[in-house]
Amino acid sequence: MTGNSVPSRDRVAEKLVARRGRSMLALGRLEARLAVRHPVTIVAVLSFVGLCAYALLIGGANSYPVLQDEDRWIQYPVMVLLGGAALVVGNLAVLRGHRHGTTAAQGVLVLPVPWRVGAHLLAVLLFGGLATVLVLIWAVVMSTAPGAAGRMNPYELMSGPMVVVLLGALGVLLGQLFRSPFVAPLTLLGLAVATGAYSSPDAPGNPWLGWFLPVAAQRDPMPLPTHLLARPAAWHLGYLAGVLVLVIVAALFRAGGRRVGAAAVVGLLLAVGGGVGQVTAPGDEVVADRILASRDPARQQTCVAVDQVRYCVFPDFVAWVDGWDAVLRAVLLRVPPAEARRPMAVRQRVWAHGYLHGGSVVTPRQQQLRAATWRAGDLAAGTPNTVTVGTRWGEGEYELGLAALVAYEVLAREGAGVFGTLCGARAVLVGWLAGQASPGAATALREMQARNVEGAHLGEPSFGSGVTLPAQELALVVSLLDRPVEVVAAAVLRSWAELSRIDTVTGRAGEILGVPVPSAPADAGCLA
Amino acid sequence: MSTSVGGYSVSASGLTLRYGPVTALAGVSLGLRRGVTGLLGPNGAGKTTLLRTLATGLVPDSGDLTVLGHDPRTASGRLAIRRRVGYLPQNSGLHPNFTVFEFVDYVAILKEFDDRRRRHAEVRRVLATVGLDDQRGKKIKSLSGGTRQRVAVAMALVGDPDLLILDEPTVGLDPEQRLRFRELIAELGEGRAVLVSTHQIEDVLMLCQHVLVLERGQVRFEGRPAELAAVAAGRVWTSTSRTAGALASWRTATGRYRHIGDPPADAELAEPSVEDGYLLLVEQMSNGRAER
Repeated sequence: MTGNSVPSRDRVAEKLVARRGRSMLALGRLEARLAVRHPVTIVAVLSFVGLCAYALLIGGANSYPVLQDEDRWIQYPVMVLLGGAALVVGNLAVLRGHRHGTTAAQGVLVLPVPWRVGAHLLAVLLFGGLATVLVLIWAVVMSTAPGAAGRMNPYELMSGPMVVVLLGALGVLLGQLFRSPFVAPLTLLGLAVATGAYSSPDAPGNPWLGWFLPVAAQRDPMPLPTHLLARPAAWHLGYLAGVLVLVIVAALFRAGGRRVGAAAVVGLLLAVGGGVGQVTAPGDEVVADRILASRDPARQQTCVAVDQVRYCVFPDFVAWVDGWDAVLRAVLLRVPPAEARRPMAVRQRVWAHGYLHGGSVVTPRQQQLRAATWRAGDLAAGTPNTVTVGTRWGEGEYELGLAALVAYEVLAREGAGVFGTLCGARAVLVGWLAGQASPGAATALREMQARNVEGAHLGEPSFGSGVTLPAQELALVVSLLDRPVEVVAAAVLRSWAELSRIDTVTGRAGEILGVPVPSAPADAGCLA
Repeated sequence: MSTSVGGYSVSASGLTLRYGPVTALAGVSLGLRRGVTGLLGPNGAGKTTLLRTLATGLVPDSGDLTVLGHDPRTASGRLAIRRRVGYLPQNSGLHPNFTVFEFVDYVAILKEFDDRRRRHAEVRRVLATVGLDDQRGKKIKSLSGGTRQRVAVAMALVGDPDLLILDEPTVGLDPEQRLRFRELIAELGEGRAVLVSTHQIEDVLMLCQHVLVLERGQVRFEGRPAELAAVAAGRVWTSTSRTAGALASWRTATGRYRHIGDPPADAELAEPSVEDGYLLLVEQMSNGRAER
């Protein structure tokens, strides 16, 4: 052997690898072209776009998106629709030769099988790119909504496309392991069910298990400010990247590729590191912040004054003040000016610690204790006459809740955390003031009457506090909402003193406001 | 350009291949030269196994094999062979949702035509060769059986191979399509070695310069078609009645009976055909086995 022969052989090998690399890229491009026009891909993309359009155009909540929740919400449809398409189409591409009987002919062609599998894996990147573009469009649309609150986490946003690529690679691997086209859809179904189950705050089992699914479970009972989230999104992304590398390694190894040891080690390190990092409990500081935010949020909030009303909110949610103020003004417009001019505060609250899983069932005693805690905090913060808003906004139910709490506060001046049943003329007055505050509130009230024969609970839905209107008063309120608002408003202002008295009965309210009063059982346990 | 050993594109000696307890190739020895060679044999004779082995799809258990000057048992040999062999398996499938161009382009990529412009030029050349240049944009699922078979041949022709291996390429074709196919294969055989497995004796007669007869994994005949016909010289007869003593006996279009084997009383000697030679060979071999 001469001294020149070794480099020469290396050079030949290098040229061979380069040639195969170029062939793999060409095959990957062809596979990507085939994938993008596959009916499953087209249906998945159209469904995803349709779902996003529906979410944007139908339902008011998306006029006030909480961005730190939206970046998580989008991951599930990304996984099921776009990831599902990548999984199924990638799988079918690998199975194509078996399904169409071309393996004998193409098995003796030059490009080795691992390079062909590499091309299938490259084609899967198309789905990742597609998901990235669609997710970014979604993120831009959401972030530029006038009522957008908070901010998106780039790691959360990147998780969706990463899951899509991961599922596509999984489809390639499954195609090599099983010759059946049914395995990939069944795998997708299993992932969708497991992830869906773990996305509920009331999901059984240990919450950290959800982090090992492609889409990490969303277990908060309500949107939280960003500083309370402490989601290990970056760790999860690292975990996903590690699993992706391992799936790619497995696919290449199965195809006969043997130079995958280093990649396997990298994948294992990423998967284990990310997996451990993502299930590490939030630090003490975050836990302390969550407890504080739940009990005494004033210390984490900023207050915005609009005339005599102070809106105290977590900084992420300042954009919502105008929406709250519009509802509040619609209530105050219908009360005597002297009442409307009295100072008031609207404070945003969250339940960031100690949420009761299995439903937010809270006993009256717990409600009283919580109200006392809230009122003490409000007093200390210099806002004794406070009503509560949560971290969801934009639908009639929430407008109705805020309007009812404002109306009750005008009448009773009790402060935050009110809980109980309203009776007599006061119930009618609060119900009407709330219902007329916005078209959404009126609709919500009517829907409540249609759904509930025993009355309606009006308040901040996230906490269960608020006032309950018995069925008789609710029926009266709904019939009042059918009358011209100015006529009712004039009668309310004329008879405010009598209507707002605690001892004025429902029948008398009906007489004053000119509507017949439906019969009803005797009131019991009314708020004093 | 064809690399060959002693003028042979393929040279095999004592080639043996087993599927578990079944011996598919039992010491095959053969030599293939430029031109069209027909491979005949009854079902289960090992024809497809032999073709797959030559195309590097199977590795022989023992024996010597050189294809285009390379040993298919080494990785480098397989690679070199695959670059220069075109293989059309029996009942080869196609991807129905591909266009004709896409399918051949796909195959060209798998043959490591890594330069896009050169690859597309090759695809166009191959499609023109098989007469499909005007149908390149059509989806394969919309094509007739004969046209699909042309696509399959186009697949085998990518890279202008020195050795073309075709396993029953005319199965399922109507007479006109078969005629067109013969034209095509004959043309392809002018500059390279073409090995065609077939059950159609007529194909061999019309197309092949050489013929091989494989039976139970062994080459029973290797020579020219006329030589195969000559195997039956003096053993083919016609008569007015059937005879039980012949190896094969059937009534022809003229109303007379044609016999292979021992003649009946009123028989007249007839000119043997390739088919007669093949039938006699196969019948003798199966009778020989029965006697043993």
